[in-house]
Amino acid sequence: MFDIHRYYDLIREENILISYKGVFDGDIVGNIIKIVEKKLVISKEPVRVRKKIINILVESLQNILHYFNEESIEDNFTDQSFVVILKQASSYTIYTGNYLSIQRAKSLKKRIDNVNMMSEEDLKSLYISVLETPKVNMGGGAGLGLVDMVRRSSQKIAYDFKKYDAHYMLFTMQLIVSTTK
Amino acid sequence: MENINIDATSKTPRVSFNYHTGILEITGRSIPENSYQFYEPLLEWLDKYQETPKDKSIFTFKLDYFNTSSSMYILGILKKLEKIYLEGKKAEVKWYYDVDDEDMLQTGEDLKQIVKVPIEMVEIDQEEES
Repeated sequence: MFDIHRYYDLIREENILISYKGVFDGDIVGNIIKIVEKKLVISKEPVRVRKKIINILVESLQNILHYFNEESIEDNFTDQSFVVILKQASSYTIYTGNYLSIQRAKSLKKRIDNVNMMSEEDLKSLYISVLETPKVNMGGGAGLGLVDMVRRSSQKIAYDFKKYDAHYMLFTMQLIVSTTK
Repeated sequence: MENINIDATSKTPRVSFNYHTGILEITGRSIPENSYQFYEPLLEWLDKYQETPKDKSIFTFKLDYFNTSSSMYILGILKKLEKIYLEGKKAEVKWYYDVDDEDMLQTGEDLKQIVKVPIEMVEIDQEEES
């Protein structure tokens, strides 16, 4: 049975800044950003930290939104996406997750592995070249988004693909923003 | 030619393009889901402007946040200004960044490498911005 006290203890002890599961549309993404921004201001996080978190949040949630707009995904998956932000001793962790086709999962994995292997300098030149020639895309709108997110975050992009059935996987991504320089 | 004046929203910046003064400004946050819709009319305006630009054009970017789809259009705007500049008229860009916002500074530096129009980096120090 659901235990609200246990759930409350969990969100309190884990310092969960926000937790949302459901549909992502423009309004919802806008509202999530507003809530997160307000909470970061209240907890007096420096501009640097605030902006990194908001930028990563915008990019990752809009990636999910665009993916569901572009591809015809079975209806029962559209309200299964999620975002969770945890506050830790010296960092914030942003988790996002959504279902995607196995085909898409494969190409996404390749692209994340690719940006994760790159040095700061390589990421900079890739960012510039994609920006200059958007046609030299790395497949889909997420091309520049991944590069942008990894450049802003304090670590590589951690991710996980969990098989759901023969056609779909649950993709989870984790990005960290350190609160110390 | 009409001036452009657009108020800011929670996802799009304030825009003020003044044909008579050559002062062009984009201020605020730019995180629309559909950047094309927002930026295409601005690029069209700049296409017309660049046919008969003022003797001096000053473009100010004072952005809090922007998403990657906006960044493509920001570069598009810079390319129009570059054209004005390369055709011999004065054009300059002021790129504002918060003293604490290393990413905004970095993006400005990145853009500087792509276009030839002069971009001046201007630091703002306002810890308590809204």
